[in-house]
Amino acid sequence: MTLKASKLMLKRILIIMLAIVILFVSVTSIRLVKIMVIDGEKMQSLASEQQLYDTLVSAPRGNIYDSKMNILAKSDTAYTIYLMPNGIKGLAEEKRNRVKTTIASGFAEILGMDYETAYAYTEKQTYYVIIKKRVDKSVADSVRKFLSENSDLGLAKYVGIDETTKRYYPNESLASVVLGFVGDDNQGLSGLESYYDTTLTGVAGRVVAAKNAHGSDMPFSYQVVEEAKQGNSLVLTIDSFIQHAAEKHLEQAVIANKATGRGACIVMDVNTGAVLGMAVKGDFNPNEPFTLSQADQALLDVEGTTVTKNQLLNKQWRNKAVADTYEPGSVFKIITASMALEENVTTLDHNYNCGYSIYVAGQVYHCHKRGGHGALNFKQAMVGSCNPVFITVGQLLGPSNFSKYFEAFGFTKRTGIDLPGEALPVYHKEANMGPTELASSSFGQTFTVTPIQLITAASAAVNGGYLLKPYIVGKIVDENGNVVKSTQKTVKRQVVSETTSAKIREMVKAVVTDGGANNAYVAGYDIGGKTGTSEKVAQMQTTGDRAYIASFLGFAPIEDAEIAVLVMIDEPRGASHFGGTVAAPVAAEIFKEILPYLGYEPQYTEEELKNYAVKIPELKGKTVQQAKSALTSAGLNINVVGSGETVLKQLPAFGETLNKGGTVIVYTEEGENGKKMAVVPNFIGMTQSEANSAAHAAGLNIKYSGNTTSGNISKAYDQSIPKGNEVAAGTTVTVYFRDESSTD
Amino acid sequence: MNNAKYYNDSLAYDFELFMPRTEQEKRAQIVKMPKRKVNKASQRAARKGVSRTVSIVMVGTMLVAMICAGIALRVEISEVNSQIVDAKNQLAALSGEETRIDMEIGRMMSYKNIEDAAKAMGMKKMDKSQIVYIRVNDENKAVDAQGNVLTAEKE
Amino acid sequence: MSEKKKSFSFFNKGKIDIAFLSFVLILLSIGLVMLFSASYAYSYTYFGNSYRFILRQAIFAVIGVALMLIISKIDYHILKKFAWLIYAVTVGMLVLVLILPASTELDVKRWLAIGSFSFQPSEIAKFAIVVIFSAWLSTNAEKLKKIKYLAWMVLLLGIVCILVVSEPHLSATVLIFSLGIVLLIVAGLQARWIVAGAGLGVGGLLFLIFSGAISYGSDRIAYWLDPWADPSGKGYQTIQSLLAIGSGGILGRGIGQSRQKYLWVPEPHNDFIFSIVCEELGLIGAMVIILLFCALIWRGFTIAARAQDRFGTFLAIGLTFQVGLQAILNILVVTNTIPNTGISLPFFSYGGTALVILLCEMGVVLSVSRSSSVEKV
Repeated sequence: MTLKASKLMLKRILIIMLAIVILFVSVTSIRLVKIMVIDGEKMQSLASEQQLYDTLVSAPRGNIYDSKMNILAKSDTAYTIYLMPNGIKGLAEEKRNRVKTTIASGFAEILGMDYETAYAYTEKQTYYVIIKKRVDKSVADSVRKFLSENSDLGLAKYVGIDETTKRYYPNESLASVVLGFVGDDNQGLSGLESYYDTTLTGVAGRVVAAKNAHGSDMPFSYQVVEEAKQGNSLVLTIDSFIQHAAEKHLEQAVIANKATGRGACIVMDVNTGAVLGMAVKGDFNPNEPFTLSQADQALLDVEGTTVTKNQLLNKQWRNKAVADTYEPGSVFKIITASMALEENVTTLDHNYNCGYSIYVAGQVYHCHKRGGHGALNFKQAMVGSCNPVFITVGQLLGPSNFSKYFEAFGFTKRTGIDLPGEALPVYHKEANMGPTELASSSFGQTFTVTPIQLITAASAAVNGGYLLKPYIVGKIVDENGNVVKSTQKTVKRQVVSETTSAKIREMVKAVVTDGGANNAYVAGYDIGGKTGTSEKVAQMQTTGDRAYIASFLGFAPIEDAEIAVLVMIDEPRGASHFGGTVAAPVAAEIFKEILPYLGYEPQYTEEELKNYAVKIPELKGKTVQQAKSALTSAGLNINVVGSGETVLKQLPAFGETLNKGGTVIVYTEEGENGKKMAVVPNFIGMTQSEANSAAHAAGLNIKYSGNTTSGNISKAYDQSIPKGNEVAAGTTVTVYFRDESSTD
Repeated sequence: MNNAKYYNDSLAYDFELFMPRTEQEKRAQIVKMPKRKVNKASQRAARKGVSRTVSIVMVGTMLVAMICAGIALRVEISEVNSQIVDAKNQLAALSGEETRIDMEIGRMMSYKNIEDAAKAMGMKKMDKSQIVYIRVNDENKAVDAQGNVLTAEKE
Repeated sequence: MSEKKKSFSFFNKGKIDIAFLSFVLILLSIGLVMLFSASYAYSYTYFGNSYRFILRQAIFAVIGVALMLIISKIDYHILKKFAWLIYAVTVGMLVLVLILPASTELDVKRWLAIGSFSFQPSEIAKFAIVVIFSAWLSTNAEKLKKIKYLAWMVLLLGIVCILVVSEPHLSATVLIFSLGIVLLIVAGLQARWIVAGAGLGVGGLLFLIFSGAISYGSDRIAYWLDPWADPSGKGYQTIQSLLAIGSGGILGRGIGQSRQKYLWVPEPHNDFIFSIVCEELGLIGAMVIILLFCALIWRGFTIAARAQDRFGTFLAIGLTFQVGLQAILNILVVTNTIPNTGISLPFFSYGGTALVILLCEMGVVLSVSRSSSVEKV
């Protein structure tokens, strides 16, 4: 039907329509006005709050390089994995358990922790707990993958990955005490990291940008970016090769001599004060500074021990070369001699008499040589390290002169080297220097100095008399490699004249060639130096235990002293505790490695050439007869294995060196049964000739190292292949010799 | 027949409307329109109306299109920005990886590790005497395609 | 005066209401533009293609407009003929939806799928109620005074409402219920019944909510009152919406310049698109759009008033009211004036089938407008 709407209906329509429209417009406009105008600013600021992020962009830490720009320390991005257990609590039971077990097994697998520990984290009553710090990128990526694989459980709501930085030391323990390490907030806690913390720390940057709900940037122009400025980098004067050589040999000595007090070694450029190497053994790996060495850990594990982990940690971090003082002992005689010669109270050939004992103000002092040296001049007194002579010389100087030079040589103050924790020396002030103090000070006892002070002062004595300021950072560069600061050689003062210096050089050379430092000899080079064996008097007085420090300070080449090496071994408890036996060979090995590296060619004397090792000729393919004649003319012996006609293989190989009189094994047949084996004997304690026979008897070749010129006085103290090992016959074993009678 | 107009809201129905109409009335209601003139006029009006409508619709569409184009520009910005962010992240990740690898190389190449590895392989430090110097007597020569030696033209 | 026909022919003569058509097209255009602006960030992040939503919507819009124009030419009386069929089919589909297993995790059974084409029967239900009520009321309005007939209408309405509410789809139920009531009121429902009905409606609503029969309804009240109580959980969407609206200020940030659409407002192309509209167009823009909807409502009611017969009137009222009420409810939800009920904004929210259905309904209204018996004013 086609009825039209009634008037009543139309009226109702109108009313309804008006009602709707008016209601609609008014309610919504009130509401919108409230939200957009009245609360508008509040809403906008809330919106901005969640959208904008204003973060500090942390500045990367500067690097540390060695003198050849090899990286010693560098920072890199690392990640922290954290958990928010509180979020898990609110879940329904079944889901909660699933989440917990999944997370626990994930952590166990990826982070390498055990399941129970990981599970325990999920039960914690906290909002935020760190699971693992400073994991590298591959681990972080595995975690991310794990989270996305389990996105149905929503694990990403509870597990988070934060970006941080981690400090890497690629050379591990190389120069560890010098470099130091950083803490959790990348602040330097020790060593150069601490001393130069401000330099290394950059300037943080700031980013203000808009992000969407996923955390990525929105393309709106809020961005204010202040770039982070990377910290400046240090370029050290340390050369990694020299450092490595020093550490290697120092460690060998610390172990071989069972030194319980650790050992220190400094290699310094005598003419500039630049430290080329500074090694302390009994150190740590700065990548894991809070990990103890096996030996230390064993100490801690002993039942009822009083030693704490902190004590052991502090011990391994301590830079012995700079932070510990010790009684220098006879090495100090270099200084006493310089003082005396400069003041002209004695000359090199002035005659003295050593009667073993000498009395000063009622106190008796003995010479270390039983029966005394008898008649000798000053130079010989240095060579023989005669205490009574030096006491006399000290008396000739008098306390006032002594103290004056003592101070001039820098022993009253810190050297000012740019390393933290430099210790202050302990010495007698002039006012307190009575005759006994003067006497003992003349030969380096009853006062303590740091190794760095000693080597700096001794260098002054041989470099023409100039006391330098030692330094370890050569340059400071910025992130682009531009030099920000360069360290110049600093001469503090001239302590003695060039003439005196020349005389000292002459004296110390004689000590090595004729005296107690003969173990410091290296073929082809002129090395001078002085040994020292000081008693740790204070320790003896408290514990009744006799303890010594064996040290040696050497210079090479002595004509124009260039490089100084100080080796100090604390409490050697092996067969010998004397400086000449324990410390001098270390210096010799170090010099042997670093002098050619630094460009000093060895210049052999006639005699040295005679004993020199010969090069083994190429024998492969030759007939047995030809091989035999080739070896004979080279001064070597032949040992033929197998019944073939031609040489198929030789041991040692072509091009290797062998001492004259050594044996080359030639194999004339194929097959393993042609290969002879030999057992390495124990060479320790043998003389050179004894070792030679033992090697031949065992079917091995021997190479001598160390002090090979003292004939049968030198005894073997170490060998390159341990005793009892089975090796191919003809293998060369390097045996290290030293003069164990040489003392101080 | 009423010629008055009836409005929708008149309350009283004119029942005449419902009365059956006579043929006459029916026919009377049919008013013949003057054909051509009005047709033309109405056609023109219609066309005018149509063209007006068309132009309005076109303007409207263009307006919408322009606005959409504006939005599309923003879309472009947004997409490219997203790509930039991704690329930046990749860069950061890769450079972090590069540093890590560099560190690893540095570690493996440290003097200690090299020496230890060499010792394990039974190698020894090279002796200076093991270096053999070879003198090459030939000078550098330039040879053309036929094998003739070329020399520099001298003035 | 044009002659009234006794029987209908398939096509209508007469002109459609230009004003109504214009309002529809304007709202549609604005809706498309705003959908584009609101959706591209979300679309790019989740689908790798910024244009995914707008392209689909545009295609459906074109289809919808075409259908609208075609339907506007068809005589609407055809609906009256098939009113009961439409109702029956709708009820059938509603039952089917309940029987078939749930398709989404939310445990709501709202969708029917035919191949890759899915739609909500509750959308059809709105239309069906309008049609069936219009059909019956157009001839039997006076009989409402009798309880028997009133009960009969209530039953028809009730069946559908209960079916829809069981899905559960609370917002659609509210809409359908309101539609029925309005049509009844226009038809002449007595005041006491209006009050009773309103009471029943509100009471039923509250009962359902607080008895927890609708599991997702009861928390919504709490978080409606204070969304900041759970800013990262239930209150999140509301808070983000409010932040977006508030950020618009009076003039808005400018088209395309919304920040909140960058993944802050969840699914900004759906129910909450109006918040982005506010953020970009400001208070002024929002009011303009609201006034446009009002204009649409006014014009629709005018068409209803001028319709040549009651069926047309009721149809026009019902369909217009549906659009208007939906828009109102959506905007009230987006502004947190009422708790979230899951209603989309006509012409704006993404939803191809819903848009097409909407435009078809607009086409029906236009068809009614053709048959107005008076020269346009």
